[in-house]
Amino acid sequence: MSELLNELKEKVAGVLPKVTCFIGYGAGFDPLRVAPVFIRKTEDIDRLQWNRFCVHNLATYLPPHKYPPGFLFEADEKIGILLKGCDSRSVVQLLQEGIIDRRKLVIIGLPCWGMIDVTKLQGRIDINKVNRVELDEQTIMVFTNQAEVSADVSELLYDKCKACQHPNTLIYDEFMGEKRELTKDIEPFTQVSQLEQMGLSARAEFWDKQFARCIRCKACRNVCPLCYCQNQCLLDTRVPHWTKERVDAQSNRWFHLIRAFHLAGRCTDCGECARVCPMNIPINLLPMKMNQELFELFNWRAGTREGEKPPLMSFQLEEEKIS
Amino acid sequence: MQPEPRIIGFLCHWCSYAGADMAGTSRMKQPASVRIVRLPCTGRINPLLPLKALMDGADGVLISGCHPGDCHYREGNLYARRKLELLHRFLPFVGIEPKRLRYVWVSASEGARWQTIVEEFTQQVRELNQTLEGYPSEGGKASFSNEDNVSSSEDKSF
Repeated sequence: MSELLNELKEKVAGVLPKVTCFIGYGAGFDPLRVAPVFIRKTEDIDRLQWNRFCVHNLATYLPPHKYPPGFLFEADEKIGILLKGCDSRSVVQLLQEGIIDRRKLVIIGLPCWGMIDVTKLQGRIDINKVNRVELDEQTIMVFTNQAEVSADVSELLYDKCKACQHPNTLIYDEFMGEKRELTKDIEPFTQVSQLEQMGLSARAEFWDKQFARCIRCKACRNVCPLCYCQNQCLLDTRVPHWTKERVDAQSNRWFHLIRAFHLAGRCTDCGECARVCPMNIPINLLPMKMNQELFELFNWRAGTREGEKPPLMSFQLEEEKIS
Repeated sequence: MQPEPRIIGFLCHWCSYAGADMAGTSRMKQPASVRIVRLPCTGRINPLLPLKALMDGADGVLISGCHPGDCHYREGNLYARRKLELLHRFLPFVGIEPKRLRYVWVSASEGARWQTIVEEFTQQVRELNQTLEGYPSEGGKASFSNEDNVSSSEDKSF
């Protein structure tokens, strides 16, 4: 890990003269968290971090429509970015949609062994009072003033990391370290299939319970790299009045279904929406179900093949799998 | 007595709407369950339209357009086919019975076919309503619930 960090710092030092800003990971508010950093000066390079907590999808800062002009970057800025395999899918998808310009992007790629979900330590230790963490390839030791706990890293990985299909960055200008080979075949949609074992009514009840808890903070929308319709978002418009402002199970369900349909065939399963949800609603499952069906119907996996036409923007006169 | 189901029909102006019209002018008897929304093309159907209809209390949604290859705009229904198939497969995941949605292709000359489709689909929805399995509006008790639906329909003749 530390060799990779040193290599990253060297690479960024090389890239920085070509770009106005480099987006990477820096220290968070405690040893268990990291936060995105925007590096514009050489002396800031030492703020960079790379460890098993760098879960954020940095691609969310790229679509220019997502933020007011000049909020993060000026229109003509060239940006450098550090991308994991899953995050690079979002970038490929954004390129396919013509939202970002590849010429204004310098991508540093690396292999990823999966990120640790710190919330999975909850219950074993107070994760908000951690003052020291020791981490190696297999085990993690977490210390607070009163207690310490050690755990197996592979158990604590995010669900998306356990089902990882793309551990290496897909498109990049520079790659660090050795590419990671996937050793076994993993079913990518296990979370969806688990839910599908319920009956129809049980599933309706499950979602009603989940949506009744939603507080409509719209964090899921704001963190999503592909939700970039800044001023035209259907969820904010009143003409046409698609959604109510009221927060109840019915309108929340409608809110999330609209999001699911707007992400159909575009969602790259980065899982950020579920991670940032303050109510822990597994909302990433809705677009994931779409992805599963689109994979079965059209062998489509968003953001994996550059230059291919999305299935909902094309057709065949004789569809193979639709009667 | 079970009230007649409420079905929303999204029909293409160039074929199915004329086909339904033909069924009417030829005096073919069919259940009066379908409320028709005329659209320029099935390609105009945002999947959210049938979904909204289902969630706001429709018992079923019937979508009908030109046969693949016969679209007035050449390819609208071919895009629609992909979108609607995806919607159809997605519905059970959020607990909505997929049999409440049906998409078919009916041309302007197929009045008789329209009649059978309406009869079949109405019967299918009628049977689903008896069990209320996967009833789309079950969830949001705030604005709509089964009990309300049944009792209010009994009070006023439909």
